[in-house]
Formats: sequence, structure tokens, C-alpha cells
Amino acid sequence: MPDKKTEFAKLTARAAQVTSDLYQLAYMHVDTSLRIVQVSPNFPSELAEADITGTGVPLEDAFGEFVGMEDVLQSILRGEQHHFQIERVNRVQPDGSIRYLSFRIVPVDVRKSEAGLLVIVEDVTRFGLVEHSLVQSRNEMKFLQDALARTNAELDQRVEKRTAELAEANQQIEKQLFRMQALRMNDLAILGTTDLRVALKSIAEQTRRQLNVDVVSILLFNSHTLRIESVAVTGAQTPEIQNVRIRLGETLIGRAALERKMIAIPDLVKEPQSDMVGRLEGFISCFVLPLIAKGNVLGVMYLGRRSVFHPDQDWLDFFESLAGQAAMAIESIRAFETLQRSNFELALAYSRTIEGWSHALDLRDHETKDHTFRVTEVTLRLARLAGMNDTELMHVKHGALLHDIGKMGIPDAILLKEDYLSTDEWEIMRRHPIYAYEMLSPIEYLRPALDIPYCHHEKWDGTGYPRGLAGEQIPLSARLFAVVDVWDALRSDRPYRKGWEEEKVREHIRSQSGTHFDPNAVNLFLRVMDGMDRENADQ
Amino acid sequence: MNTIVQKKVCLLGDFGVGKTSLVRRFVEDRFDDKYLTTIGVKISRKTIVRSYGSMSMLIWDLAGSTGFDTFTNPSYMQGTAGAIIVCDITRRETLTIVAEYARQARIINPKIHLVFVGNKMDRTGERLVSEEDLREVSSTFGDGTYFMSSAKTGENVEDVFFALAEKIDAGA
Repeated sequence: MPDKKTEFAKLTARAAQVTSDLYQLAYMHVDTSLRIVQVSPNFPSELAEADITGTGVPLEDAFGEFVGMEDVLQSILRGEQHHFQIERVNRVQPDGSIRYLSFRIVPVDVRKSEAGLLVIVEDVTRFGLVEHSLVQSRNEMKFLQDALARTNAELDQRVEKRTAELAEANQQIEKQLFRMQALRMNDLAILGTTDLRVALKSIAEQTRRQLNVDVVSILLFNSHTLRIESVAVTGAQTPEIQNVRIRLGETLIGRAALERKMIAIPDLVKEPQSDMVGRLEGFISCFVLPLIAKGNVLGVMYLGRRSVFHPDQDWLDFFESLAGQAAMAIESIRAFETLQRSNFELALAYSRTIEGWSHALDLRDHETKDHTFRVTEVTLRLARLAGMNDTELMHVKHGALLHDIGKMGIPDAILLKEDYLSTDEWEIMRRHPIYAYEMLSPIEYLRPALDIPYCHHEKWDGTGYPRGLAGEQIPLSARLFAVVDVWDALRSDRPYRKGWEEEKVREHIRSQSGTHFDPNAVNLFLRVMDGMDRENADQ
Repeated sequence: MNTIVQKKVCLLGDFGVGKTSLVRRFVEDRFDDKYLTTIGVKISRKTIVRSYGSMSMLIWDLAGSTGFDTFTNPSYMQGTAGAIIVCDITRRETLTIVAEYARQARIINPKIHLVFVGNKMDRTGERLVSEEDLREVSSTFGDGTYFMSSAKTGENVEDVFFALAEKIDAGA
């Protein structure tokens, strides 16, 4: 029976053969007390942390890899585990390079546990370096991918944020545009009407739409009653709101006007207030802003909602803009009304003055009763028939009333002379249209009325005076008036003759058509006369 | 007379979280920004000297993984007294893997001592893992011991290893 030593020697020789064949394999024999018994001749002793040239060195002292492994190694010795392996253990060489080792632990003889363990050490540096290179590349690639993914995510986030910002900016722009359009609409409403109620109604509707409220009411201060009175309401459900009258200082509306400041109540339930309009309409929130122009409180704008509403600054600012516009509308339309009234009064004053002058002229001229009144009336009829507008008719009227104003420059001795005038006197008399021009042309208001006083003695064939104008050189109003003036003069009694019969006068006028008178003017005159005849017949 | 006990501890965590850097900082007090992956296992030894005794720590710096491929070889974990599980606070996905490492470590050794580390705390602007996140993971899978550390600056690195050594001492 071979002894243990012989058996081990054979085994060792066989292992030596295998290791030399494979070159990279080395081994050591470890006994049951886990001490190194023997190492193969090719064993790289520099791998051990302790001197293993002798025997009996504890395995874990020589190789840190086996610290804590007692249980595993004992398990192999007991045959409970067939082998154990520690792969790719890094060993840093003195030159800094890495050597990769694998440790495989197997029983020397599976049948005899007392034979100990064989620790086979394999140098797997070649494979380790290849694997290291591959894993290094893979991990670096993964880092790059992760970094790229992070950058992409960051970019996506930025794009998303920017997109959201742009969308918000667009929304803001659209909102601003919408509001500008609303303000523009209000401007147009203000410019397009002189009716204050119409303008305020339009502003109230724009305000209701823009500020998304249920009701808008604009109330104006009445300085006679000292109350604030409803003028324009939109969105109301109750008719009473149209007739609200509130004293200054009373309720929210009166307070806003008196205190000259906005009153905002987002929740009337939490903060009950004396609010007549709110009570009528069942509002939960309301906002009241005084309408102030040039330091004067003109009224208030009242907004009501039937739900709780907490507006942002943007909303409040726009409310102020709309209220400002309403104040401007009130101010400008009232100013326009005042101006219109003044103009009317001025025009009336002018008209009365002109009529007064005209009457004075008739008196001085000893003109027949109502001559100027008659010629004015008939000339106006002709002018209307000729298609003149209201402004032109007004100038025709003034011109007709003042047609002989130039005679104020003619001495009484000539003007009132009952005998025929001498050539010199006649020369003076023919100057009265020029005097009329000189008197009236500096008066801007009467300048458009000059045509009749200056040109009513011109003749169609150019033989008239003072300038000898012919045909359509003579202003239309003067051509019309010339016919009427002659018609009335011939019909009237004079100291030196009796007035002509109507038919004779008309015949004379017809005969002068194309010489003294504009034929068209004559035709119009005759149509007017026919009309007047029919009117008289009807009466 | 002071006796030196030898204890095996492992560093676990996803690739690139800084395990090797933590070991290098602790053992050699050095740091290198260059990333060099670990294949297999790198074993370092560091003796911790305390008033009541010294501990020779065999620190197994295991290759990081993508998908736990390395961790499927449990032989590395045999005989381990404790483990430091590391995540990179600038990469949120490494926190998820921390939980998986802790779960697997417990399967191999139910009594293993665990310390959780959020590394790279010097990169403050890039932080994606909060201290609260780490506290939660450490409480769920360990006894709540965690550290925020920086291998680069060395902040808390020694504390991590000493804390694990104390746990091992206490549990021995």
C-alpha cells in the first residue's frame, strides 16, 4: 500500500507537468489546518504577502484573498463543496500595471479529506486586459450616453420652458391686442357719436366683455340733484338698476365718488357692504372706480360679478384704462355739446344782428314795407330749387338780407332823392356794391354771404356793375337774387310810378332772360312763382 | 496587548459611482479624476487603529455593474463582514441600484453590516439624489447608517470606513 508521501509526490509530479504545459498555472498545497504545505516550482512567490518558501504559513497571512474564507475552505475539506473560485483578482505590479489572477480551490483528493486543498493560481492578465479594455470602453460610452441623455433632457426642458414662455408671451400679446382693440372700439364709439348715452353704453359693453364681469353700470354725477345717477347699464337682470340714484358718500358707489378711489370687494359674503346695485343683482363681488377728468369727479364705473373674484393687477390696470376712457368720453362729449350750444347761440346772435341791420337799411332807404323780407324768402326758394345745401342757403339768406348794405355809404341826398339822379350821382349810387364788399369782407362770418351784396347788379350779358361780370362769372346766388330783386321792385309803388301788375312784371323778366338775367334763373323764378300762385290759391 | 483582527469588507455599487476612488482616498489618501474601470476585484488592506483595538480591513473593491452582472457571482461576497454600498448623487439611477445591491447582499449574508454612501457631494450643482433619499434607502435596507461623501475632497471618507468597522466590532 503506497504511503501518503509517495502518493503526494506522484500527484505533485503530475501537477508540475500540467503547469509547465500550460505555463500560466501554478499551485500550492494547503493542509487541513489551512497552512501552505508546498508550492509548485513555477509559483510566483512575489504574489504572496508573506515568505512562503518555507512551509506552514497560514494561507490567509500569505494571501489576503482568503481572509474570512475559513468556512468556505472547511466546507470543501469536508466534501460539502467541490470547489471554490475567486476570479480576476487585481494585483498592482511595482510598475503600476495590473496583473489579473484567478484562484481555484479544490480538494487534493476528494476521497480523502485529510489530503488537504490544492489552490490553483491562474494568471489571466491577458484576458483581464482585454476585458478591461472592453468594459472601460463600454462604461465610458455609457457615461457619454448618460451625459448626452442629460443634456438632451435639459435641452428638452429648456425648449419646453421656452415654448411655454413663448406661448404665455403670445397669450399676453393676444390679450394686449384684444384690449387695444377694445380701447380702439371705445375710441371709435366716442368719436362716432355725440350722444353721451350711446358712447357710454358702448364702453360699458366693451368693459363687460373684456373684464369678464356680469354687469357694468356707468353712473354720472348730477350737480343739480347732487346725486349719482345711472346712465348706461349692460348685463343687468333687473330694470331697477337703470334708475339708480345715489347720494354722494352713500353706498359703495357714493363712497367711491366721494373718496375718489377704487373700492374693490372680491367677496361680499365675507365682507358685507352697503351696495344697492349689488343687492339688486345679487352680486358676490364688485369693483367701483370714480370717473375723474381734469380733477372733477364725473361719475363712477361699477362692475359686478355673481361669483367670488380676486383680480390680478393686470385686470385692475385695464379696468382703470377703460374707466379713464369713459371719463374722457364724458368730458369730450360734454365739451362738444357746450361748443355746439355756443355755436348755435352765436349763429342766432349773428342772424338777429343781420336782420336788425337789414331792417335799419330798409328804414333808411324808405324801402317798401317788407321788401327785404320778401326778396329773401323768394330767393331762398329759388336757391333751394337750384339744389343748394343748408350752409349755402344760410349764406344766401344773409346775403339777401344785407343786399343793399352798401347803400349805407351813399349820401342821403342821393339815396333819398325823389328826382332823377344826375350822371355823377348815378356814378356814386353805382358804387354801393363796392361799399358792401368793403364793409363785409373783413367779417369772416359774412364773407361767404358777400356774393349777393357785391354782385346782384351784374347782368348776364356783362352790362351790369360794379365789375361788368358776365354769364356764370356772376355767382349763382347773385344771379338768382337779381331776378327776385327786380321782380319785387317793379311790383312796388315808387314816388315816380305805380307798381306794375304781376303778369307784366313776369313778362318783363321773361323778356330779360339771356340779357339781364340768367335764363336758368328766370326759369327757376317762374317755377317758384307758379308754386307760390298755387299756394295762394289753396289758401 | 493589542490584537489585530482581520475583516473582509466589500464596496458595492454601480459602475462609475466612485468606489475605487473612495478606497484610494481611504487607503492612500489620493484622488485621480481619471475614470479607470475595475475588472473583477481589487483588494486593498488598511489597518484601522482604535484605542480598544486595531482592525486590518481587507477591502474588496468589486467591479461596478450595469445590470448586476458582476454581482451574480456570489463568491466575492463569501466571508464578508460588512459592505459599503455607494451611489453617485449626480446620477439618480445609481440610487435605485443601491437598493438592489442591499437586497442581494442580505440574501448572501443576512447578518451583513451595511453602510450607505452618496458620493460626489462636491458636485453640488448637479445633485439629483438628496440626503433624504439616501436616508430613506438606508432605513429601508439597513439600520439607517448613511453618509454623503466626496472622494475628491476626502469629506466623510474616513467616517464611512470607521462607521462600518464599528458596526462590525459591535456585531462580532
